[in-house]
Amino acid sequence: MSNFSIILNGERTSLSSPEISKLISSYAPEDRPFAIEINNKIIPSADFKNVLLKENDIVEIITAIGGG
Amino acid sequence: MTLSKLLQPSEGDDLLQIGQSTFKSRLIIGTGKYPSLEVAQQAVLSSEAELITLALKRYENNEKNIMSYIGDLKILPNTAGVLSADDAVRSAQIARELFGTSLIKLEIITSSNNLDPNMDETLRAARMLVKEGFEVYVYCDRDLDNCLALEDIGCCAIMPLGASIGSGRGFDNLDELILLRDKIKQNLIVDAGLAVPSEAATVMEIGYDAVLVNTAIAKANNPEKMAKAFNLAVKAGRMGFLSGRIKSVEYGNPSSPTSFLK
Repeated sequence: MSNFSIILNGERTSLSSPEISKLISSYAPEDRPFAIEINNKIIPSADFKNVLLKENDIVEIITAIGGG
Repeated sequence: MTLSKLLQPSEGDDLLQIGQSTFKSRLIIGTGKYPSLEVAQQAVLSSEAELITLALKRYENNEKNIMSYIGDLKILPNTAGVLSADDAVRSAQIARELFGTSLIKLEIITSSNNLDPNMDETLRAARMLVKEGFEVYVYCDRDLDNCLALEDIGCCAIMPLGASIGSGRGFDNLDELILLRDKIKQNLIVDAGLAVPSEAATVMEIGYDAVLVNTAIAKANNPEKMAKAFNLAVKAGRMGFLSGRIKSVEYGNPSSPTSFLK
């Protein structure tokens, strides 16, 4: 598949693979838990294999920060 | 002071039961605004808190990993930064996936300039979250009807603000907090506004179940020491509550004989 682009954490980002596993290996943290949301819908980690990214998807990789 | 709860303190091991969780500590610590994660960790340890709040954000790869400082503490994710019920539910769903917990601190502010709770949206979100099986700790105003409604909805902790978030004003209206304690049976926790340990002790003395503190500790000159001071104050206030305060009367009541050498 040729390159396509998504909005990743607010920034347009070019990808060469639609697989979430590839996105994770490039952009997600290895040292802490994270969650992935695509177009405002949370993707359970068990479903990562079943979902393919497509042009203009809005993707958020979310993790924890200090807060009150 | 018409505090039926104050005059009927509970007995037993005095564990704090919130939803499905049981705690020895009645101090909940927020983890924002610390000068470093190391200082935050020292403060949390010093506080002896068992439950800490965390927020969500987009991942940035240059940030330190707060999760590596948390150890065995129970996490209460918050919905901070949202302005609507729909976004609060979205935030809670993300938190459930991220942390593997059904606990959520529901916090919907009026605007980023006014951090006081938006109660219409908070009530709407509370209904949706309870229906989805979340254990909802809800940041709210001190309006009795709103707090009763949140109790009816099934929130496991009602958390009225003492004063605006991060303001350090302590209590804008202590009488309102006292009235809530008299009418609300569910866990009551003061969330926001406290500045000094004596305020935490006061809250516990009037029968609140716990306090949630962030800025007062995080922005203190010595967060570790301030965390310990809040821990001691919460324990002292709770012990005072359980001991049963005397009734206040209009006139002096002598502790010694009232006439000399007779």
